[in-house]
Amino acid sequence: MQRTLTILYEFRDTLLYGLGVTVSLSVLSMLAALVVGLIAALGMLSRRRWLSMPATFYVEFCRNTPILVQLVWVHYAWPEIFGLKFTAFYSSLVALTLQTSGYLAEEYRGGIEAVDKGQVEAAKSLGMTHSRLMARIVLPQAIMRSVPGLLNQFVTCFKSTSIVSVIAVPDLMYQAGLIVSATFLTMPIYTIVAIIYFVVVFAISRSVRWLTRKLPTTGYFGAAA
Amino acid sequence: MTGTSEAAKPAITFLGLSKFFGQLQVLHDVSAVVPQGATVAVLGSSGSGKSTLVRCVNRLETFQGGEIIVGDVRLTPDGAVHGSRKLSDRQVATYRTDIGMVFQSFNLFQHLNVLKNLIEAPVGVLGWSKDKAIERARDLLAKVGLPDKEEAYPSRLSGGQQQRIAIARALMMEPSIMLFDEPTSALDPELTGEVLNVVKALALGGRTSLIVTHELAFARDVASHVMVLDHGRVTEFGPAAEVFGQPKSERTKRFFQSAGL
Repeated sequence: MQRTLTILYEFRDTLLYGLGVTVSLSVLSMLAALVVGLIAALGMLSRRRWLSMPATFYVEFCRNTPILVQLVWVHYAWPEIFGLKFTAFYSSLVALTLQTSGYLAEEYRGGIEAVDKGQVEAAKSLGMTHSRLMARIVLPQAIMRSVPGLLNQFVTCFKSTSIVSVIAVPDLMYQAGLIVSATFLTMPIYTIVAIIYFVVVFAISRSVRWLTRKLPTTGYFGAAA
Repeated sequence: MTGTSEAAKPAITFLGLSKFFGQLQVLHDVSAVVPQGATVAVLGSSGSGKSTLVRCVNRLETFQGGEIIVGDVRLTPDGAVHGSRKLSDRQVATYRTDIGMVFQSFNLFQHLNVLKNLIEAPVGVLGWSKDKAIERARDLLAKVGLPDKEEAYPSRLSGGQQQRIAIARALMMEPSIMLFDEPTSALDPELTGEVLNVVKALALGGRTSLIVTHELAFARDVASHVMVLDHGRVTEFGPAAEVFGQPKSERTKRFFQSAGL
């Protein structure tokens, strides 16, 4: 135990830097996925086939390929396919955004489809066009409904980031590997890393749960919950 | 009501309207001329096609045969037509601004408080200034007896209160036609009175209204005309006094008798 704490202290900067990379990757890809996922969801629900078909394909592709495959594909294949060469960090950001946006699109879609048909009819009867009633009536309600699901996806996204060490992004997992190869202290280092992941993810998911309970008591959820 | 050619021009004309849900025909060759300013009670048992007929007027439903003429607009199975030009989706939306609708399930916007429910469409669709919309909203809220509910969210209100707000919301647009689709059917009996009073006091004056209802006493009280539908066919249509006084069909007679009229 003493030794573990000493190691933790000795490599604190390296580990903190790694944690910083992990957090920024997950937050940035989550933010990007919130936007991309919404666009994909709207595309899927569009009545225009030339929009709904590619959007559906995109979402299915993102959800039905492993994150590791997406990561390697973006980093090593995109330079040849699209002529896009990213640094390892940006490849990770793109891959995580692909994966997460696929799941978020499904969350949004569920939220949009759960909005009562009567809301749409009332909006139409007041002369709103399709785009206006989507923007002003359906989406605000759908997004509020989707919040718990969206937040839960953030937890998944955070955990997925550990895979990016494969292409040498200096995240928490990668830094741990570096320390292990320098010190051969395999057990204590990976145990520390496991604990750090656990503490952060546990804190996030507890906050999500708290928020999810708290939300229904605010605003229009009032008596509905 | 009589005399001038202005008053004689019909507000809504149904011409041989037919509608199917899949194989099931729900409206059979419905024809009727609704004069300007008429209050038409649309009666009939459940499943007779009353709601569907009314929903066709503002094109929440399409239909397969016949047409509906509202002002200069002809609704046809292929779309809404003005002159020889088919209306775009945006123009259909504009057409709807002149037709208010009150739904059985109120359908207030759940994420907006009462005041915002009222001003959303006048500001966003009609382009009113916010001040003008709020002024009219406060006036209407006072008239429906809920001046202190501006900030309330719909889920906090009783069904009767929600429906009065919904009526106010429709009236905000100053429509020349009002459609009521069973406005009290989702309410507890003790709440129907407050809603019917608001309908009578506010919504009807001078405006053409179609009211789908099971409240026969109310229909007798307010209607200038009565339409009775049976399995999607018009069995009675005419001035209220005639239809209530001398129904043509035995079935309608029994229908009225069973309701104690």
